[in-house]
Amino acid sequence: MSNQYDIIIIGAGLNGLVCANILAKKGRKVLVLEANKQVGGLANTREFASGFKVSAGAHLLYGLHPDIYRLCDVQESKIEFADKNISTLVINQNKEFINYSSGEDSQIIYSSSLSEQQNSDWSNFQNRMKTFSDILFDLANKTPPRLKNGSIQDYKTLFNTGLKLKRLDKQNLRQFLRIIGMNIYDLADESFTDNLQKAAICFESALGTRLGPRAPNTVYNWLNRYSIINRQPAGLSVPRGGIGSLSQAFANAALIKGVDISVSSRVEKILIADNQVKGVQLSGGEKFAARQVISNADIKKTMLSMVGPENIDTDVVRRVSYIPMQGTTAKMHLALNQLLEPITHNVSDFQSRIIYAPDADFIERASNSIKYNQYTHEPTFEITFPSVQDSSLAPAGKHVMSVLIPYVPYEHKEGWAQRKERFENHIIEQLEYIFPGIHAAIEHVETLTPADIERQFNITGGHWHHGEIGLERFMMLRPTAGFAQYKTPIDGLFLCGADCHPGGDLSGAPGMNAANTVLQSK
Amino acid sequence: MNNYDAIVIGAGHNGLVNACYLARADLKTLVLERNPYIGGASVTRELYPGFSYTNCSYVCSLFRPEIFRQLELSRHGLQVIPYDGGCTFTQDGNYLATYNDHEAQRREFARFSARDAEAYDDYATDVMRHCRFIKPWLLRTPPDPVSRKAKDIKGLWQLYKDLQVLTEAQIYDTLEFYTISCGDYLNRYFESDVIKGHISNSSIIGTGLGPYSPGSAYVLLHHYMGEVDGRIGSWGVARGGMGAIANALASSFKASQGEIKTDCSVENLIVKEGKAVGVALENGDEYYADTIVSNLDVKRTFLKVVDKQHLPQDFVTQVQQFKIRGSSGKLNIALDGMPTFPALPEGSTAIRGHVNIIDSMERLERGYDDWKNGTWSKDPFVDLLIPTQTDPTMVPPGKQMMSVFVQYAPPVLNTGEWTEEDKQAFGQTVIDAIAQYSPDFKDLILHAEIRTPQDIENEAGLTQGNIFHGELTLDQLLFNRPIPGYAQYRSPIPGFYMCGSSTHPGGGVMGAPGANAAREILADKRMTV
Repeated sequence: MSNQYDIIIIGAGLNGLVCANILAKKGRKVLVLEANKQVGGLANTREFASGFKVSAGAHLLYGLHPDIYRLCDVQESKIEFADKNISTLVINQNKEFINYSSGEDSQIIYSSSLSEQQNSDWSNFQNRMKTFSDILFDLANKTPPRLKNGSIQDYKTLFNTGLKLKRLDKQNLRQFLRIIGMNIYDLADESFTDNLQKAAICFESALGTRLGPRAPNTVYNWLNRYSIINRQPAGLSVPRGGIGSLSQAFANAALIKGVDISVSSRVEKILIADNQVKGVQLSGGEKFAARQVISNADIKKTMLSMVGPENIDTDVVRRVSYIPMQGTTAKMHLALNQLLEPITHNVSDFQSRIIYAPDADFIERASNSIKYNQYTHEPTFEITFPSVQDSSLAPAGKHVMSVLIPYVPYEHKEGWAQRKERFENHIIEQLEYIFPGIHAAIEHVETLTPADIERQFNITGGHWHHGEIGLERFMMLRPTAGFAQYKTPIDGLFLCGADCHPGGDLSGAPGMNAANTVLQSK
Repeated sequence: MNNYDAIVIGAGHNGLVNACYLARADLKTLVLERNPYIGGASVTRELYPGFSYTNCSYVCSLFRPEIFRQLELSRHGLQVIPYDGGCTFTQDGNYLATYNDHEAQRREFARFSARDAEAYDDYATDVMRHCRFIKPWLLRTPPDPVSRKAKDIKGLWQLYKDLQVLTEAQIYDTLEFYTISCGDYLNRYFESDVIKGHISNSSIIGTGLGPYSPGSAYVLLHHYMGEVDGRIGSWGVARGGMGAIANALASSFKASQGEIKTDCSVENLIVKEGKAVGVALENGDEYYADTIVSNLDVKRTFLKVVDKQHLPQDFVTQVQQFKIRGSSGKLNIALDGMPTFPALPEGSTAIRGHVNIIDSMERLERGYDDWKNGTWSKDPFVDLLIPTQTDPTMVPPGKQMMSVFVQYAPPVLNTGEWTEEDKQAFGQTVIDAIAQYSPDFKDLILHAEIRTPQDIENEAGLTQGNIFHGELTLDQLLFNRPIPGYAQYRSPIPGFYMCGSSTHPGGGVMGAPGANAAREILADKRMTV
């Protein structure tokens, strides 16, 4: 392997791989360096107990930006899905439930007690919101424009966005300008009469952030997530073999295009001379040269550790260091020796994504403790049973359960070393209420607090969006002003991770947009 | 003679400002007030013999100087006395004082953190820039982003031009500032919990947000925009209490031949052929005018005074959805003498200003959690002010009056409506909290008026007791306030206008909504002041 490349990409997360594919397709000689043994970053599958595999980061695919398959020469039809159009089952402590489909035309499929009117409330809400999330979708594949000293391209983007907004009818434009800054709690309250419907909307909107549903700007989060899901013919899905297969597909496509991918290669330093990138140096001392380096690592790791404060202005150091990047969501993987009792006496329960969230206030209360670096004693959950969707993930007759626990702090007040075991036990105790008998069925448990996610996946804070997402960190404000065009103050250094517009959730859009920026730059 | 050119419903300060401008344009104007006294929430009342209480709003500084001058309020007896001082007590027996003088404030911050003292220069410059950006907009009508009318396009162009004055980095800072949480914003500058706690107090006053809620940074501005005698950011008390503002406005109004009737509760707007033509009182009297202006909040106006049949259904829904959240209570306390605060050095001026007792954002946020749960904060945020140090004329010699603003207190408790026991328990929580910092305070209490959000609603007519007539969140600011499409002081009914704090630029004793509404009304009549 020669050590001279056109472009080096740091990190083989999904965004890094998408970026590598697009650049290699345009004839660039690309090297991808990954610190872990596996490619994929948070989009991976791994064995967590003997014979039990799980998507260790994201456990569901909301969907890639539809442009990506074409740009990367990855045929969507060739990706084998273990399950598509996965529905969502929301339950409360009284075992009442609603089950709805995701993707275009989301509808209530079945429920314990919804009236006809309430069923159509759901569809009406989804239709109304689609108009607005489409606006965000149109922005998802654009480089955020600069608002002053911009290029012609920037003014074009601004003008086109303005035009799109103007094309909305008056009523919709007014509504859009109102709800974009609202909290999801109030919007749900305005739109629904059923507690589970409200809870479903609030949960989806707040998931992955530290905000409760009553915090302003949470409507934006919902629209942002749905802007992508709405465009997926497959709806919510999981690839066969877990999310890791998706990363593998993009890695394979990159290899075919001549990209070199080197795992277990931790970049320690980005080499810079005269404010121009020269290459990178690995922790083992090995050096690789390139005039352009794109970092799929988060901005803090990239700028404050790999570039180093000595190479950037104090003001930039300050800006980068105050980006809130502390993780908010823990993950738990359970190896079960049998499947549990269905909740709704419907066998298909376990094929759904299960959300435990009795009502919006419950979610709000759950969000309180993270503000004080504690976990909540009454948590909400998002649960999947990957082995039900894909039997290859567990030994015959046995099952894997994957649980997301929102509002878990990165640092526990008393230190995770002290509290992790109690946390794990507490969560299992809570799960026992929802799934009686689970305790007895557990063969193995793996718990990832945000601090564990930080360590295992090399993401500062272990935040799955590489930092909080919200209106105050949207477009030209993401990840922070001055970095929003995928560029950094260092010539030849770019960012392509989820901390860039439009954020995480495995859309691949930051990687795609970054690649386009690199192609346009001299 | 019950015919007028214009009728203003409600003699709050905005109603009076509005009426003054209309009367000055030679419109025969009548102001109708439900209470036996004028002022709304800008009042001075004797609730204990010899003691004048400013029992609602308690400081004057946001009042627009332009209005002050145009309505000649000095000539009509309004005197605003600036005061220095103020502090936050810390739990460990220390205090952080407030100074109007930047250098003095910086030295004070240095007692807590040398780094924060340095950062204060940047912070003050940045916040002042945000103030300068917003200030001219206080007395402008928000442009309608949907409209193609010349004046709206001009307004949007103005907004664009105002932004272009800033550097690129400053533009992004501005966009962020309006959406970010106070907590995130302050974390950029400061490290000391006490300093952050001290500053963040201003980010939540009157709102249903905590300092960690996005959007709370902007609320800081509502407390920095003030000026007294041209000194930006300084605070003052009106001589004779906040009622003096209402009285001066009334005097200015009467000098322009305006007429005020108290004890006149408006029950109904009279609409004929789709136009507002008059009002009917509870006592059956009717008054007529082709211009009717409501100083009531938007919910009271359109859900109580106006009959639904005159309004588009969609509009009524949006009024119902308008967020007015009661989040604060008030104690007004007559004191037998000046309480002592042992944490302060002898002769400290800190006690002359706002005294707060929450010394970290976390405590403030926990107070907000209590409120979300439907209880008053067990560790309440208290903004106490003893205005009689600056204006001793309000009380008998040697006595003092203490105004205590308390947050958070919900309009309805999780146990139901407020009962008398709840109210006393709430008052006791606050008194105990203050007594922790002043051992002789309890013994000096002669009389305490305790006001829950419910009481504030019943007396001042503020829905849920919300002091701003509606939340100051992004979805309810500028062209969204109060209702998208109706942000230019006009209602769906021709001849019927809004001039209360539910309209742009919102609450605080500012007078801007009243003045802006008057400008729009006169424009419709093709008149100017």
